[in-house]
Amino acid sequence: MSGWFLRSAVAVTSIIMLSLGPVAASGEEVSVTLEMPSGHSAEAAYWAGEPDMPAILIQHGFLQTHHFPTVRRLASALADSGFNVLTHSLTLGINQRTASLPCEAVHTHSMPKTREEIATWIDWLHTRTGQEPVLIGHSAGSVNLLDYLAHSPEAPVRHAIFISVTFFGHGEAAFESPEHAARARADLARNDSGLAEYALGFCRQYVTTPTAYLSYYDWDKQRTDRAFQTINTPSTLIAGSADDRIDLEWIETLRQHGAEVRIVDGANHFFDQMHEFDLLDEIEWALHRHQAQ
Amino acid sequence: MTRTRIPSITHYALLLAALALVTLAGFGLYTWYQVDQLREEVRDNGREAARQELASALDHVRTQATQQASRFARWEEVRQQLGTPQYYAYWKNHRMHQAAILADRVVDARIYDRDGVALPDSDAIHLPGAIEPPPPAPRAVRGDSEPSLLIIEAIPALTATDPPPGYVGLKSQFLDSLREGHVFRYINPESIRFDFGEQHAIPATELIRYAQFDLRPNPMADQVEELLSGAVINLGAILGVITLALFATLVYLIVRPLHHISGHIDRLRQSSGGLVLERVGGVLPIAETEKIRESLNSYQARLMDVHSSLEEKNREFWRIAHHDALTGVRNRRAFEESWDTLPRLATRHTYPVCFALFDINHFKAINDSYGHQVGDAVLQAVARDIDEVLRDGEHLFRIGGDEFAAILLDCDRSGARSLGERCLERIRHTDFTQFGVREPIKVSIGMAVATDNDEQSLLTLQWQADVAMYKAKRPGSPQVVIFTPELAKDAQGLYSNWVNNAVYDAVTQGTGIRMSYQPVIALDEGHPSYFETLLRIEHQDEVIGPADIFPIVEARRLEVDLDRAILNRLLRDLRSSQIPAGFGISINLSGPTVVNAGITQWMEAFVPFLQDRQIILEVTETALITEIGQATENLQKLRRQGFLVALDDFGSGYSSLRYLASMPVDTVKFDISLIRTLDNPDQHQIVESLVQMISDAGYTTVAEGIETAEQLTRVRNLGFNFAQGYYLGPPVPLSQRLPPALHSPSGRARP
Repeated sequence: MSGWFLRSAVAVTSIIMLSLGPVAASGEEVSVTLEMPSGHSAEAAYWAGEPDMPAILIQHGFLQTHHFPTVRRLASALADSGFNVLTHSLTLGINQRTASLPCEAVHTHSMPKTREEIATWIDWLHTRTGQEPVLIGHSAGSVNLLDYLAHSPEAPVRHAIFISVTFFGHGEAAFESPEHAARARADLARNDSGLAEYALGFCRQYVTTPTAYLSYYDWDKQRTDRAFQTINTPSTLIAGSADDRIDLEWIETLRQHGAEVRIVDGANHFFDQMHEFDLLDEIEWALHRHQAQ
Repeated sequence: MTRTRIPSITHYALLLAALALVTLAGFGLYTWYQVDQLREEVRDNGREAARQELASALDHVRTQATQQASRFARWEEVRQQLGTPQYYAYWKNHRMHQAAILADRVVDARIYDRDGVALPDSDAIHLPGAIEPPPPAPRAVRGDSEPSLLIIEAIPALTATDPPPGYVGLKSQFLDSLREGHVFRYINPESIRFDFGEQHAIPATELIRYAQFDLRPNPMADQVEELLSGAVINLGAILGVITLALFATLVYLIVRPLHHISGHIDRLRQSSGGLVLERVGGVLPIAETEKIRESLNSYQARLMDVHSSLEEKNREFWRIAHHDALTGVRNRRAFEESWDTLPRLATRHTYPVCFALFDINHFKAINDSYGHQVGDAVLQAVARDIDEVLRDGEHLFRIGGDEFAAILLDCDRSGARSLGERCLERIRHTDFTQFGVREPIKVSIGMAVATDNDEQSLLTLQWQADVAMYKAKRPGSPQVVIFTPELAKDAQGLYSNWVNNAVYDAVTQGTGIRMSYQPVIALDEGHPSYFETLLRIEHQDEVIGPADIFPIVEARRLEVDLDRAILNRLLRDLRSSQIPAGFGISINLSGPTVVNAGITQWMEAFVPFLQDRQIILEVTETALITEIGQATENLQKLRRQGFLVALDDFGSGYSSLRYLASMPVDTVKFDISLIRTLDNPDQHQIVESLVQMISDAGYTTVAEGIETAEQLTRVRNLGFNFAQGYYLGPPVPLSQRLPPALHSPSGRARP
């Protein structure tokens, strides 16, 4: 673990030097490419904010990229507000992935590999800004951040904002079922780690290995709920009242675990149209509140 | 000379139509050739356009395939396969073709690593297992059923400086895409095919060289070509029909009427008129041809009028031309025409043809004595008398002043004689005193009958009638004489050529003239008083006498010339003294000479010879009667010059004492016919009384024709002063010895 970290650190350092080159001007978007621990290169957009403003890392949803509109609008708006904003794309096993990965593609990524990439970017941002970043995740990206926070209790994270947070495993908006998980487990039991077709999240057809599949599938409602209970990072949950992909009632229950829950009335899963500003207002409100604390 | 054949208007119309059709045919062929050239050009252009079209389509297909390969190479899942080659086979089999990245025409695709080694898969039989970087240009490879495009494309590196992380290979069929993905205007897409020959693969850019195709039927071009061809054919047909129609119209409107008019004119030429040209225009009359027709008919009508008038005039002219205005009988022209037709007319028949000549005796004397009006009345009466005697169909012709002729068909000698006698009888019973003519009018008739109607016989009829007339005119001859061969002998001199020539030479050149001298005896003395000079003409030892000379001279009106020739001869003889001095002579002068104005001048040359001799000029009463005024004046002048004048042949003609009283004559010579009457006791007294009366009037008298002693005795007893005749001395030339003539005292001559 320490070797991996050193190698990653060296890589991060070199890539920062290569990618940033001259220091980016404040509020200007620059492209950042980092080599992930898997060897793949990953891309991100970075806006250098005001020096005294918090650093923010925004994580996109399942199989998306940092170009996803909800993420992109949010990053741009926060950058305009002077925040240091980094939003990256997970490689999902593809070098410099720039497009969302279709459900039907062969999915070789897994939750642990994703966690490593998030850790790499957090480290980069922390190093870049010298601040403990605020993590913002959208949809399943919140699960990825939660997975990271759950596995990195010492992570240099100031605050975590989970937008439209959801979970894997059997649920109302997901196609996976216990049978898929059971088949994956059976395959694993037979020591069959080959590709198989499952369903996951909004993917009715999802080809991956049993291990990778289960790495997502196991982040079900209960595990997510437990993660909120266990992480040390102050958390804010923002959800739209019209989001049909989440379990809003469950979200409401998360208040009891100390999380701050903000419900935007009428917003859907992606906070489209007018709710884009509501979302931004909620986030800025949360950031200022935690900044003030 | 051959007559140049002039083409008819039909020929010109045919030529025009032929020229028009040939021109049309030439133009049509030229246009057809142009259309064919255009068709070839369109076809070539279409073929070239098709080739360009196919080249463009192939380029597009190749570009599409390249873009396809490029998209495939840039597909992130392809890069994903390079990172996870263990899942490549699954991905290829389950994902690659389902991701809508590759088109259906892609037969196979393969991913190669940076070294060109294909990622492991199960059954990539269409693509090579390895490639040699850098990747080759796109190629076309032969296939079982159709060729394919094989494209190797580098997977883009993440940075420009990095080498490609791998390669993709795509093999795609393009024929369907080529056929279905393009709109071919010129090519039938189903016909597109490629023939690589022996080659397995060729550069994709050279596919067009191996392409084969069929041109798509070009409806527009075909339609244009069909329209052009149709237009040329239709235009040619229409122009041809128009030309033929124009030709037919030309023929119908112009040629046919012209032929009609021409035929009408031909019929007019062969007809006697009365033809009217009907309308020639048919259902399409033309003003011009109608005008021609009307003008022709009008002209024809006027021509007919003129023709009728001309015929009328011709008949009148013919009548005038063929009739004698005075007597109403036919004239000499009509006679000659009838004579010309006689042989043709007579040869058709076997009957004898008679030709009669009528001549009024001494008509000139009548004319001069009573005037022309009386003479004309005598002519009209005689002509009427003869014409009335002629049978129907027989015509009397006036062929001279007082000469008439008639051609009598089916008339033999007896018939001819009977006709002649009837004519004389009719004239004899005509009362000519109504015209003031107291003397009997007598007509001499000479006739000839041709029993053989051959042409030669007919041609000699006139001559024979002339001979007969000559005979009838002779004193003592019957008034009607029909020609006989014997008469021809008597008249031989008149018509003998050599006699004619001799007489003519004597008259014109004075050659052959030989004067004979017959003594005129003074009865009271018994010696020659003077000698009458008598003309003879010598010709090649032949001597031509007066009986043969004077008819010719009178017929040819050579009296004056002959008299002058004789006068010249006598003058020469006198000057040469061949006529001895004291040798009196008498000279016969013809009527024309006596009335000639030059007679006194001519005779002046003789005046010197009157000194020692007497020269007596003998004239006939006929000569005096002809122009008695002029004759009297001339004779008086001559008498004043010293010449004596004797009236010759008294008693053979009119023997009118009225004439004698008015004539300046000194001597009267009684004709032999009167002397012969002395042999008849009944007529002796008349002659005796006549001699006595003339002698009492102061004239000397001469008795001619004394041939016997009895006649000499009688004339001496009757008181004649002189006598002359063969009994007293024949005419002899000067070469013979002549008895000396008595010199007559001066003053009024008394021979």
